[in-house]
Amino acid sequence: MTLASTALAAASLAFAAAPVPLASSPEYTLPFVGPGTYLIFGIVLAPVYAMVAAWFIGDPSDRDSGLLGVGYLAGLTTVLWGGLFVATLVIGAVFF
Amino acid sequence: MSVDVSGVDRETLVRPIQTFSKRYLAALAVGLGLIGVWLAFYLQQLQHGLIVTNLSDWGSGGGVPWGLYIGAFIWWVGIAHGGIILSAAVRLLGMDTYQPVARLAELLTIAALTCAGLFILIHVGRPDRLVTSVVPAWPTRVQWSPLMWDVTVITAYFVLTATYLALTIRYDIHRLRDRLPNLLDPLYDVLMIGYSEKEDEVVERMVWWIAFAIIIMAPLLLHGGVIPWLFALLPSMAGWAGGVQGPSFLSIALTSAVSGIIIVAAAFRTAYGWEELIPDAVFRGLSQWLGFFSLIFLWLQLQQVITGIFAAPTTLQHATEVKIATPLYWVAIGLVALAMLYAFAASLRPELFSIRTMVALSVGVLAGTLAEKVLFVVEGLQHAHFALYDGVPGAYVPSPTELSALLGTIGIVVLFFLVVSKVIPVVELHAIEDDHEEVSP
Amino acid sequence: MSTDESPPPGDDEERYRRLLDETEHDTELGLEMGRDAQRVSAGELSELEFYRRYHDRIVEEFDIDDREIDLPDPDEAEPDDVGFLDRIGSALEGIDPDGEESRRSVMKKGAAAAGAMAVGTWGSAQTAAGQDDGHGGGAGADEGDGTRWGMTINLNNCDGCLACMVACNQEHNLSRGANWMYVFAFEDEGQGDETNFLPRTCQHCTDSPCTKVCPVGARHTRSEDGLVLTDYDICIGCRYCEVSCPYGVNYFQWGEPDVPESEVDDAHQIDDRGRWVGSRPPEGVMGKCTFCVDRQDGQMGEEKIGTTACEEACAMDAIHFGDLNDSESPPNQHLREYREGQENDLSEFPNRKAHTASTFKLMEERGTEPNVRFVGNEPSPHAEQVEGPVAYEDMGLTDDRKEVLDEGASATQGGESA
Repeated sequence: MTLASTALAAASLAFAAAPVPLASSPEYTLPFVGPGTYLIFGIVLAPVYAMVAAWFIGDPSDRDSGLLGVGYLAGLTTVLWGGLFVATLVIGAVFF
Repeated sequence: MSVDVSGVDRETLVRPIQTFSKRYLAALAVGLGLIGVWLAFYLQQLQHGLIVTNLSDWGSGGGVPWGLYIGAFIWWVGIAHGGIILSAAVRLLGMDTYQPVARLAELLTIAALTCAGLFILIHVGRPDRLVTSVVPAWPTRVQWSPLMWDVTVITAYFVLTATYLALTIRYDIHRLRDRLPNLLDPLYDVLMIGYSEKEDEVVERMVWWIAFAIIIMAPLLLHGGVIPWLFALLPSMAGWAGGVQGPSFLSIALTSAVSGIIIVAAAFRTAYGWEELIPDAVFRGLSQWLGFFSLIFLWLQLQQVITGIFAAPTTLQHATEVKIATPLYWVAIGLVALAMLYAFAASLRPELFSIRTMVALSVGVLAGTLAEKVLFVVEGLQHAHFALYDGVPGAYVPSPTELSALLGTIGIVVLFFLVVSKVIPVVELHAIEDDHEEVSP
Repeated sequence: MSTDESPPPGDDEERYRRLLDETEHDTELGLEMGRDAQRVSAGELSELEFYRRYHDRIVEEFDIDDREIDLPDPDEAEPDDVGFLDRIGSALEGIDPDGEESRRSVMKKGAAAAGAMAVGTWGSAQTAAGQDDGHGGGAGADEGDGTRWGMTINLNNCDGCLACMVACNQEHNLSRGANWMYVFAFEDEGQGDETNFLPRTCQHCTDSPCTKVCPVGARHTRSEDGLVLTDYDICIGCRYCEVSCPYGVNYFQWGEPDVPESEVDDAHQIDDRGRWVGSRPPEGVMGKCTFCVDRQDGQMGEEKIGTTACEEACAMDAIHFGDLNDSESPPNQHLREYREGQENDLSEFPNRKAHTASTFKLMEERGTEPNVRFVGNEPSPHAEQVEGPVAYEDMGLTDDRKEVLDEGASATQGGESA
């Protein structure tokens, strides 16, 4: 019997008594970071990783076009949030 | 079902760029007018606060803190799905029938996502902090807050769609440059940076992969995932939780999306005499898809109603009973059902089909899906688990300020199409020229 | 529903014994810890005592390397320092608002995951057993406190006079209808025409949904004492906290506050960390009961620490505010005295609860771990709000905030609001 299973046994003993909290319950707790990080970067954006990888790997592909694509992704994100930043500055300056 | 539009010449394709009519000006005036109305109201809201809306606190206040703004946000994101589904169908599944409307649909995605984002901006009480609070908090809050997941995924969706468009447009601009306005040359120069015809093949494969990424991410994980998760707050609202919300949200998105494309495509066909370029078959096909998606929408609604009223948990039963006692809900269901019945009838008896009717029914579907989404948000909040508040039930009717935002965003979509159609070809060259042959200007 | 968990029934204990017997570790230790863990959650045993009681035996049995998760050396730790346990809690919850703390939590969480096991067991047993998880540590190490502010509200004493609501509104300069403290009058099934009362504050949940969903970290749990607060400087006003809260305690500042900024003292607004979390919120952000954070920080004088405006105003001795981690604090004392006054007859059935007093937490089954306990009968799902003996209007209060808001909307919009 490993230490881990002892841990489980002891933990389940404790859980039997206490109300199990929402998301801080160890059963639902993921290591390192919160669940959103796994969800967004592990699952939701996985197709995007496949896409970017395919831009550089496989045939036909070339580095320049791939970089152009990555440039678009980075540039558009910047433009989007940069534009919003300007908009919020204006709203803040004029109204708040 | 395949359609051959390869007989259409390039002049037809660039017709929106090279013509200018009074009707165009009229449409422009309408678009700008709608935006103006909204801006006037929005300035009021910025000045006096959200008190000018009919939103209020739930609980002892008997109101709803989320209303039309959030409902319309979900609705626009739903419409945005149309673009990429069509483009992806063309590119991934070889459904060439829809090639003539693929770019219109992509543009609709970008316009609709912009409107969705705008609704978030006007929904928050302190829009001046949208960037200054969100960006610094992002690394830690994306781990926990479904709203932050939403912001992240919508950004990704928008950027992917815009990249898709930016990459595919190069092929067309290069070949049609002589027919495009010289005035905009600096813009085209930027769009065409580093272009050579050698890249076409590579870019074609790149956009295939973008289509692949979006077709998985956007419908399944954004509208069928992150947004319904955002509502699945188990401790609070009885009507919001449950795994069926994902598929249900998605079915509404797809239904609205196809309706949106039908309307936009019909508008361009009528305005520019594009009967050849966007033939009847495209609309027949789209209406069949609309019928099919409507069927799924109705089926999922049935699922929710049955599981919600038959021996359901007390609070869920209460929420569902209220839902089915709301006349507007049945109006929404009826509008979608009507479109479905017509679409199916027209595929059985083709002579029943008319584009005009289909457009009218699509407008109905969009009204229905918007009503359903707003009801979902509002009634969810009005029927919480904490039943003591049932003593202070409030009514919510969107205020003129809120309704004006709906008009304003519609105006933005109109304006967007009017402007973009003057700058780039809104139908891909691939639609009329099948292969990648060398083109002499 | 009652806060006091009864010990596991016999067959459960047998099951756990078998489970533990299969391990190579001390079965008795596991069982004893399990029993005491339940007592911790029932509030009968302090977390600190729980920690002290088993720490050495745990180390002996599992040979924990403390440093692996950066625990303070037990020898160095103050006797009353339970901060590290709480910090594990924060790491698990991962939403510590203090920047540095949060990075450390994440790192610790990494270590905890990698090392897992022994330490993980300890941490999770603590987390699950102690109701005080997720916060309360952090600064605690230096200040030597493990405060968890909370309330015991005795519904049997409440007569629905609404004095608490008035006091709260005045002290926090609230706009009309923003009833941070709200007193329900209700009738319940099977109780005839009898009117019951339920004063509702923010529950300052230990596992609060509102802090989890906040996209910008404005709604947060203050690590030093478990207060759930809103940073008015950060809040973007998306109202997601309000939507996620099962209790409906949030009141958004829809328009200009009734009391202007110039009339509110900084001492009421800025807490001991320098964050703007007290008094009424400015326009466009979220407000709710703060458990009088200004009082708890000593801004209103030493003698006001450990009191709230509503408690002070209550002439019926219904509201008892204090540190739930301190067994001698007013909420714990009141609960104990109340229970002792209603001892159960154990002569024939020794397994009965020791007392017959009914206590509950609001919607505890939703897992929010509220820090407000009620003595009295929990409203059933069929309870209905009725008019109380004192009308809100008679006390200068507004019940339905929508009326005010609609008024405001028409005032600013020339009456066009629907």
